Amino acid sequence: MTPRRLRRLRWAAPLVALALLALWELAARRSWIPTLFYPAPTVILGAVAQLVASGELAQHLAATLGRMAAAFVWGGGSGLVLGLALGWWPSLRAVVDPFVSALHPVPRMALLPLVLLLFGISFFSKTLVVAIATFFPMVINTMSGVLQLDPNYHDVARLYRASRWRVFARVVLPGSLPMILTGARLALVRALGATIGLELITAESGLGSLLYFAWQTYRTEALFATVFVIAALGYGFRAVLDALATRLVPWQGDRRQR
Amino acid sequence: MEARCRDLSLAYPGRNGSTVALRDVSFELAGHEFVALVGPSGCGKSTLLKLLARLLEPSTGALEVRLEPDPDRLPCALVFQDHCVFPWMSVLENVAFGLEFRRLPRAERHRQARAFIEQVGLGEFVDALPHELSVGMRQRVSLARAFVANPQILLMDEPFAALDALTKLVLQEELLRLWQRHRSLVVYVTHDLAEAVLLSDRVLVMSGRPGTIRMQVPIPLTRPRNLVDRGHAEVVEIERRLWAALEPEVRAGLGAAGGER
Repeated sequence: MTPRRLRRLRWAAPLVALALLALWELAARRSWIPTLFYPAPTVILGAVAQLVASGELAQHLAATLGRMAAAFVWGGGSGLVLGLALGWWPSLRAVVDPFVSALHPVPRMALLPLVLLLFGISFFSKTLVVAIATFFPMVINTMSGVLQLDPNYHDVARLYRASRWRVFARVVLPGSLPMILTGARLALVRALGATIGLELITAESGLGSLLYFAWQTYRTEALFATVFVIAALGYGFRAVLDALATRLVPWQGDRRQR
Repeated sequence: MEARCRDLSLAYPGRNGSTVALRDVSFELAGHEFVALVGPSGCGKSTLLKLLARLLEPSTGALEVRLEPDPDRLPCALVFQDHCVFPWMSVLENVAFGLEFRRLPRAERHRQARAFIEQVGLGEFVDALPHELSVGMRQRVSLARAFVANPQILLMDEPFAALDALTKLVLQEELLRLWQRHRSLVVYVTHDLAEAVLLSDRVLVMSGRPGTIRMQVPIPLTRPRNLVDRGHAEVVEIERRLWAALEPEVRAGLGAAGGER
């Protein structure tokens, strides 16, 4: 397909979404569907507006984002550092990589009871569970980022006798940046999922607790409203990371270089 | 400077025993020669370059490289066909990377790099990233990076194979000009027989896998050379001799299972 036709199709997804929402609205107003379970989009929008106006949304959003941020810094940060180290030192990789591979498939939520038992329902225990969720995509992607670097680059760096530090800072780190960003993207999605799940269970604060109370009180419009907010949040993260990627790795996505 | 290879062999360990890439390779390089290396696909030309660069160690045999003790000259530079310049560095940073070995201050590295970027005609593109350049321009960056280091030995692995014929001609001339000024020992791998004859002082012909040196052909053409004159009788005559030695090797390679590697 020509790029021009593809560009025109940019509008297709929003148009389809609008059409589906219009259909939903119509179905709800004409009572084709039970509005207790499927409130009309305008009603949901009203619920969102109410959440905003009451300050509830801001409060819970802040709680969720705060948890995510703390977990992302600790989990993603340590994943990044360990991933770089594993890629850089083969001997470390030989020892540590089997543990990473073995622990990776353990579902994060399966750890929750244990962590809550050990540390109680605290900021620390919640951060820990989410941090673990972000740690794995970060460590695995960062390590493969280092390992998939074209061997020619290593040969060039070696022949020009760059110091070990310069090879790391000027070749390995920027060269693995595209995969590091992929890791960050996955880690953010995981962090969002884990945080919401956690809040749904502990039901203290955050968007997950909002879901819990809406569920328990049969306020489906609030339920849908929260789901939409969470979806928008996920979309927002992606947009931010895409923007970051075009700034940090402008050479990626250009076909000529590969 | 000189390099002496005696009975070099190299075997890669593989799943079904080891694969012999090179067997009993012997030749000598000396002074500021321009040596072309031709051979059928997969005969181990690139492997041989990596041995000369000391990026690989031979399984058996001796490789002696004697260089001038000059800390301002890089012992050995390598130019590949592709994946050679760093996509995350600007043209200036890429070329300045050629001076890493001298541990100079940044400003001085950049000053020298700029001079070479001018020499290869990329003055307007110092701050461009490689993906913004054409393939030919990227190879110029690669050439500038090699020559800014003033290497004693310059190894080139089909550096211009991905270029169109006209761009290739310009870059070949630039290469010869830089080589004559900087007096490096060049080993140039190519599939193009005319290119081998027109550029070099001597052509080494390799056999199919496991690669070995089958023939050495001195090129008596005077310099400076006219690179456009591919049809010149003398050139064609040497090309014929090279092809006569190569053809059975190439056919054998095509017939063998696997063929291209």
